[in-house]
Amino acid sequence: MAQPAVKVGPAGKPVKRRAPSPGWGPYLLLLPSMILLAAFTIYPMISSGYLALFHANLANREPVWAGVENFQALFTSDLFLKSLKNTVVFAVVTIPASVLLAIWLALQLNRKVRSVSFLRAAYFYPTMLPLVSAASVWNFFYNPNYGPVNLLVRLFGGTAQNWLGDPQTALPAVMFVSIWKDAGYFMIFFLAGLQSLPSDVFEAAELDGANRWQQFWKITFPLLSPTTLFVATISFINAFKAMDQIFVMTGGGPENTTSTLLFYIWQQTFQFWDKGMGAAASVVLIVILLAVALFNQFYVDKKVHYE
Amino acid sequence: MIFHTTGSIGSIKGKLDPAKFGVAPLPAGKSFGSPTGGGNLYILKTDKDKQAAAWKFVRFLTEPARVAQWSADTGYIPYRKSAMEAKPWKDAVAGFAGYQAAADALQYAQPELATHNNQQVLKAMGDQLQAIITGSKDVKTALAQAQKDADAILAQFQKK
Repeated sequence: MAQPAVKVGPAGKPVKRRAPSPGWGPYLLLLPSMILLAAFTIYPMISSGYLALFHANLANREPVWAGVENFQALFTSDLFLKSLKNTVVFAVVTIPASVLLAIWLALQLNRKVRSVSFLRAAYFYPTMLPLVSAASVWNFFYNPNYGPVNLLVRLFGGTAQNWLGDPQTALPAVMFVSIWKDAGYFMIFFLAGLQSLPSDVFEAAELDGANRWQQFWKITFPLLSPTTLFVATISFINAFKAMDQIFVMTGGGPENTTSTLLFYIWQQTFQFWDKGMGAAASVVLIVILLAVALFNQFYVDKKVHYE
Repeated sequence: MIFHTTGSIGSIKGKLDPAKFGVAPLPAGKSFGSPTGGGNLYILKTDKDKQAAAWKFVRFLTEPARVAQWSADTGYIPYRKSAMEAKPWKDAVAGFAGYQAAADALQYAQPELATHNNQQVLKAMGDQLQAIITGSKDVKTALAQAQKDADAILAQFQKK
């Protein structure tokens, strides 16, 4: 459409030029994702927060107002506190372990040797297995009588353990499966990160006489920090949503040593049908995740080196 | 040797030579025991026709001859005394004595635990049983804790 360069108003003065209003177009484009976000994220969060204020369980036909009683019950419940502690332990152990293992694997496999593509595929393989089937296979590995883990232990003269049946070893055994499952997946991100690093800085470092250890900590690791943050975030999410392997391998036992926050929520809601308590525990989970997300957004993100 | 439900006798008998295996009741420590379980039939309060139809269906499912046939095929204990006298069950016991061994254990059975918040109470007991089995608590302490936990779960139902 042809338009005059300067619009002239009724009094002959030029009218200030405004950017053409985008109208509803952008909102329309955002609508599909807004609907999904509202339906599956925002609405459930609000409705959990509301339900958490009621005694909504099998003892009451209609939900009864509870105020903060569900939260009081949570923080005086040994099982809830134990589940919270187990989740924290799960995160504190599996996040650094899987991230460091992944970096190490990536460093080892980021070179041109003959078997490298086979090895990359081998370490990536656990990622392709559904977690439930992987956990079932590990159930067999950990079997106290004929499981391969105990066969190895006996071969080296150790004492066989009931890995998943002993309160001392059950959580470490489950965490090991998570680390094994995630490390190969994270390795792929680090491999991609390593391959995009500029080679000139390494040449310069070598000329200056930096050894490999210094090169790693002074150059590689800082340059990989966006990858590390991304991978650590995924690992954090995986730690807090750990459920399948616990469901399949231990059912939260023995003595609740593998009961995590999410397992607790599931148990309250779908085993005991205590929806009020399940919702209250969900609120605690949401608060923790939001706190970590904000911390990431406003603190960690500033420390990360982006090119 | 397996510890298993009597409901597996039928399928095991189909895979193993019945002459080569037998069925025994659970061994006793201080006293015999026999854990029971099973499904229930409910009729919900709706309109009269649906209730009558449901009742007809319940009677169909629980006819002595049908119960006896079901038990003979699966190994599940007949859930009516009259079914124990019915021909399919008598024939099954005559053909394989293991059926009777399982049914005999019924005399040591207790009613199933049924209370408010049953799942929570069962978990309170299960947690303490695990503590006894893993050796982290002695029987007396663990059972006292189970009682305490169950009381706490049921407190809301006590008359004040």
